[in-house]
Amino acid sequence: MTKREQLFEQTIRDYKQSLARIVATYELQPALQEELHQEILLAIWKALETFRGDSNLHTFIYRVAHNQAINHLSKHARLPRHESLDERAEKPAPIKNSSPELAAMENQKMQLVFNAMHRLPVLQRQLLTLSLEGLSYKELSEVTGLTESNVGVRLNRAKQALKDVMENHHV
Amino acid sequence: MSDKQWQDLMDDWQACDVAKSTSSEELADLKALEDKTRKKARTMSYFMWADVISVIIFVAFFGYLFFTDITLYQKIIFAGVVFIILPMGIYSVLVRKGLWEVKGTDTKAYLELAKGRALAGVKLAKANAYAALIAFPFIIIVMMWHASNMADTVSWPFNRFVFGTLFQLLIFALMYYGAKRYQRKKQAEYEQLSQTLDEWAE
Repeated sequence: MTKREQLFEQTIRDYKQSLARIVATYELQPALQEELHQEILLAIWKALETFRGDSNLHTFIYRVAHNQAINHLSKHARLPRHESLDERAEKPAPIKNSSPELAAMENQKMQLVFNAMHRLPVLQRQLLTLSLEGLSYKELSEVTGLTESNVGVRLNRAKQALKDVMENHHV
Repeated sequence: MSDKQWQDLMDDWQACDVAKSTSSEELADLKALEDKTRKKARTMSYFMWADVISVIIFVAFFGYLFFTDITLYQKIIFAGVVFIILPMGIYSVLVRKGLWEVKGTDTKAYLELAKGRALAGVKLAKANAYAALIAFPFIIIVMMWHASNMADTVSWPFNRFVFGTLFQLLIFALMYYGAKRYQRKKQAEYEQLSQTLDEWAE
């Protein structure tokens, strides 16, 4: 197995959940979610060919995934992007958890968070997603190309915007 | 949003398993995902070589015919075919090889490059649409002129000139329609990317 194949396997294993969350943040429609997921994996596979290990794999993967997701959004720019919160909340609970009641509650909460995210501009969505995944300001700066101080300001603004959207829709 | 609220949200977020929230069960299966991606990459590579070989065969064949003893209208038709095949083949290889893809060191750089690429796509599509509009009447004029020189020997309307004209009409109509469709798609992409970059600048 080549180094690229090893890295790809490791990436799929380690970032499976993170990539699925990124997909859910950028795309609402299930058929397009699958397409985006595949596009991201293909982009990572191609990008790993040029990955020499001189940069952080963690930020490298997030950067490729987010860039691909933004690319996907611009390619499907003519499609409707929002879904009503009621419509979204009525969907079946897909998130796994140990207790069914807790799973249903958690699921509904996270579905609403994802839906609120869809109402935010792309940059805010990207900063929030990356920050929620646990990236530091420095890593956020590497992925987005913004300065660290700018990241701080914009992230606070994004958090406020998320809170406003959630409150306005009684999330 | 308070730090506590943010931390709670972060915990919920990281504990959230949405891998199965997509409609496909396959996406939850690591092996299937990996195989599917490899298969897709391999298929792209096969298609790329198929494109290269087809373009070489078509261009060599029509190029050879062009220099044999054929009539002017046949020469025009063959030149028209090569005119379509060659740029399409080159574009296809570029796309499959990944050379048409945008590569940015960070999202901002990526967006700027992608915007430039979308604009290039709009211009390319416009140029193709204009080329179709200009080339088609030109070819028709040449054909009609040639046909008029042989008016005594051809039987209208079922003759090769009518066939040739209709054939060219079909090719250029398809080219014009395809170019316009591509232009609309790239224009929408360009506008979306511009909007995203404007948000960046705010």
